[in-house]
Amino acid sequence: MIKLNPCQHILLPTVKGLAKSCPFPLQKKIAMLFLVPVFEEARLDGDLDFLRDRRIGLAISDIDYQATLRLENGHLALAKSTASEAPTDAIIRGNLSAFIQLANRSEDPDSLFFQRRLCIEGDTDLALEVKNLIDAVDLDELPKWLKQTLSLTQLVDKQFA
Amino acid sequence: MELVCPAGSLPALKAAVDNGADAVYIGFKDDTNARHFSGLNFNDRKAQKALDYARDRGAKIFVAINTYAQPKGWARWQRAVDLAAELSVDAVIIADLGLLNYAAQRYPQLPLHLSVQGSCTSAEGLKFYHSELGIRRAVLPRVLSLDQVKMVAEQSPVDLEVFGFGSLCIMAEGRCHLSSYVTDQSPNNSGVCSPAKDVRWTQTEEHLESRLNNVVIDRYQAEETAGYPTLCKGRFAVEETIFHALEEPVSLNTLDLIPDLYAAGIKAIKLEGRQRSPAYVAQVVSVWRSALDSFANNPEKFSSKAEWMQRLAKVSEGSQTTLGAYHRPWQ
Ligand code: SF4
Repeated sequence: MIKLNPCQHILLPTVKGLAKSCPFPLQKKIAMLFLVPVFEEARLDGDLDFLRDRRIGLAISDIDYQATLRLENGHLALAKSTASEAPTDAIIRGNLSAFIQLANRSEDPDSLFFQRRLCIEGDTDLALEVKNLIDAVDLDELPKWLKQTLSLTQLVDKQFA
Repeated sequence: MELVCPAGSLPALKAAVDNGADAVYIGFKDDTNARHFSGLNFNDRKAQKALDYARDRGAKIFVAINTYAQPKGWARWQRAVDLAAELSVDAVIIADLGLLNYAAQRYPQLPLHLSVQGSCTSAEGLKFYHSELGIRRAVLPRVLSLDQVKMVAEQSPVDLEVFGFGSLCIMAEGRCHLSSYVTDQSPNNSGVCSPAKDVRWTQTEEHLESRLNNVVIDRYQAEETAGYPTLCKGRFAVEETIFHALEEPVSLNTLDLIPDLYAAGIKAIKLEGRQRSPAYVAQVVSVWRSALDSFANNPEKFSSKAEWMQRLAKVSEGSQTTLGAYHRPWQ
């Protein structure tokens, strides 16, 4: 078990509260703000095609949140995760710290997996494709504001170190 | 010694170059290379970008076309060699004799490296590849002991490259039938030994279970580190004892052997992991760069630092490393 430091004691419930209280359409808008530019190069290269008719879940255990992603008009978009919707084909599960370290590339996903901090359920092939898709995002090509946001996550990451 | 580093994506390539790779090896986006994983590798445009990035910073690019060509797809393997030649990469890494022959005939200027999948473990074999096909370098399989590496190196007509770090493979590479046995696919023909579409992970109350084409490979207790679901690293019941009957999940790490490898005349060290992330590449390459530099600056006083070993163990399978076959006195 990773011990929580004081910052995390505040951070986790706050993020959890925010995620819970944020209505889905707003969540979707915010997600789109990031997803579209981050995966634009992949989309143009046809590297998102494997997601057609598939749904991938990212489950963040410690804040009790699951995001489901699918293609919408060729772009990666947030989909509803409720029970009435189609089930996900694969889920990548982990704590918030693992996802933050993934996003800013401070930890290697396979190592997180060996250490059991990330796990895959369902279609392994699909989950692996998503992992490789994220790995292939060229941060140098992102708009400046996004790069700055990512460097902010590095600050948060330090709280989990 | 040249540091040859893996990249499965452009960001991984940049990480390798930025952290001190002398050369980076990449593969194209199809089954012509032994890391044919979904979403990995380079299309023409990305390969060109990779080349530009590396060249601008004085690093070389090698292209691995190291699976065995199949009659059905022969044109695909030819195309891969054509593309590599068109890009004028610094070398192609090939295992298949027919494909080596094609490259040698068609592009005499294109430097050829014999892939580890070619599984050549003797000086005689190397002489054949050298005289008949003009290879300039060979990558030695990870099954040789240090003494055997020295023996081969003494008589080798070509430069030799050995594995420095990465997932341990215990077979004479190129001759492994374990994954064919379970999944009908092999590294040599399909470029993968645990095809993701055959892998299933299931978390139950007691354990995390991995299956390969429905064959149980391992069950991990809550606190145990996990490994890749390859047959060679699974736990099996042998006469009622369940254990890692072939090999444990572990990574090969030869940092300690840098002086010996150098003394043996080894020209290049290869790091494994084209399927791994840019974060892995950055960490492993930077440790190896520091180690090789520290050796070059003061060969007599070289010893591997605990901090390097820790950083490498962190990204290793099973979080542990081994010298593998290099340290088998009986071999
Ligand atoms: S199954 Fe194991 S021994 Fe065989 S090629 Fe793969 S890693 Fe090597």
